[in-house]
Amino acid sequence: MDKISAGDTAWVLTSAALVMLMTPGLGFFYGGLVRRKNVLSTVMHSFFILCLISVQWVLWGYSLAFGPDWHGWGIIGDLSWVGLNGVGLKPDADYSATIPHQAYMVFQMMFAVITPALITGAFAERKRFKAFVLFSLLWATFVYDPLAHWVWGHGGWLGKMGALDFAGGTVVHISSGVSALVAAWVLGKRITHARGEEVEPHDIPMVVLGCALLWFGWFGFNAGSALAANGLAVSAFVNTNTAAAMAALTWLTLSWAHKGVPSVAGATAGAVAGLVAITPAAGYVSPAASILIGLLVSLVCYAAVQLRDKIKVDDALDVWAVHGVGGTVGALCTGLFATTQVNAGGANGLLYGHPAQLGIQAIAVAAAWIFSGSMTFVILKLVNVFVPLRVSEHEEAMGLDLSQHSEVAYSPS
Amino acid sequence: MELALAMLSFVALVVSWFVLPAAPRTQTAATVAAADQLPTAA
Repeated sequence: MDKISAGDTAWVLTSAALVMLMTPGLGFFYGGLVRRKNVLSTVMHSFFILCLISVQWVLWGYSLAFGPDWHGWGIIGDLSWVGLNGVGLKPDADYSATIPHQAYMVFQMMFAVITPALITGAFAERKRFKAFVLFSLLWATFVYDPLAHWVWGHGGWLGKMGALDFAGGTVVHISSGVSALVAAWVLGKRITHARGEEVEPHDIPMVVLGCALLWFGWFGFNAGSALAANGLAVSAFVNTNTAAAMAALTWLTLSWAHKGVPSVAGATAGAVAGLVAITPAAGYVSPAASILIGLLVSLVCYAAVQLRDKIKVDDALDVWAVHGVGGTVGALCTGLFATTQVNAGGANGLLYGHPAQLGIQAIAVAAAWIFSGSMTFVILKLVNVFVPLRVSEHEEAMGLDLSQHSEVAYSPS
Repeated sequence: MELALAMLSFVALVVSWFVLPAAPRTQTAATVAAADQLPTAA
């Protein structure tokens, strides 16, 4: 019988709490980037999703993502774990042999929470609250839960194929980033952007605070994914910090060379891009490789931001460029730099004599892009049948804080 | 090879900061003054 480890359990529960903090941290990050009339609605997106998906996960999300494979197809879990039926305090050896099954469940819950929250940056400042609620619930159920099963669920087809995703580059970042691009395209531009007006972030210190909370929580996200208080967790922790730092330095340098200023907001965007890219690789690569991943991701994501500008899609807070493209860079770099010297349970990448791993990673990336992009399109069209996706022009001009929540962030009195 | 590339890229970044041109001022004096007055505005 599997024996519960007090150290592993303590670390995974702590990591779950760290990842939980990332979602309100994301709210601050996004909240600072929008105009002051939309800050509450933007923060509310993240806070509301924390509540919504926490309950969805207990009721049916965890069962769909991690439950016994339905008909052995590797597509989705069955409903035998609905309401956490059978998910108790004994370990489930398929996922982690040294912690209670519910500890694993709650750790994974926090990933399920933050993923749809990431998308909200794309439709900030114009999405109707009711449409956002319905979209988030459907997206979590029909995009996140199956995708998590494909990669991490017992019997999932991408996991069986050998795809490496240590903490969610494919499941969390590619899925949310690509969905963000589709959502921004379907919703259309904000009024100001349609007129070609520039919109400045209203509170850069809030952006830095949000970024710092994300970075802090990301230690739980990546190092917690070792599911044990061991050397692998330490390796993931070191790689996480290193890649984030290098990516921030690189983005700052690019913005300095491009626009003549070492941008503060740019440094935070770079740090997040680095955190995104190291996510799938954190437990498989060396610290030197994490520096190169940080460098590469900022080069590619910075270019993606310029491309997004050119294709005129109003992905308000660059979720696609940072998470979709950053997650893709990370997943592919895992296929390059992974080594069993770091993680014997992983695989070698191209640079360590196993070129097929890069191909497997590319298949996983393509599957995540196609599935999340097409499903998001369908879900948005479906939601629009019942609730208009966008607020009216008048409501958008007034700001979402007043029009959707009847509150203001900064009272003049 | 990974270590050599990592070392080289980090040093290149640090050196570039001392080569990059001075930042142009995009904020006007009036904008800064207005921002400074915000906390005391009644």
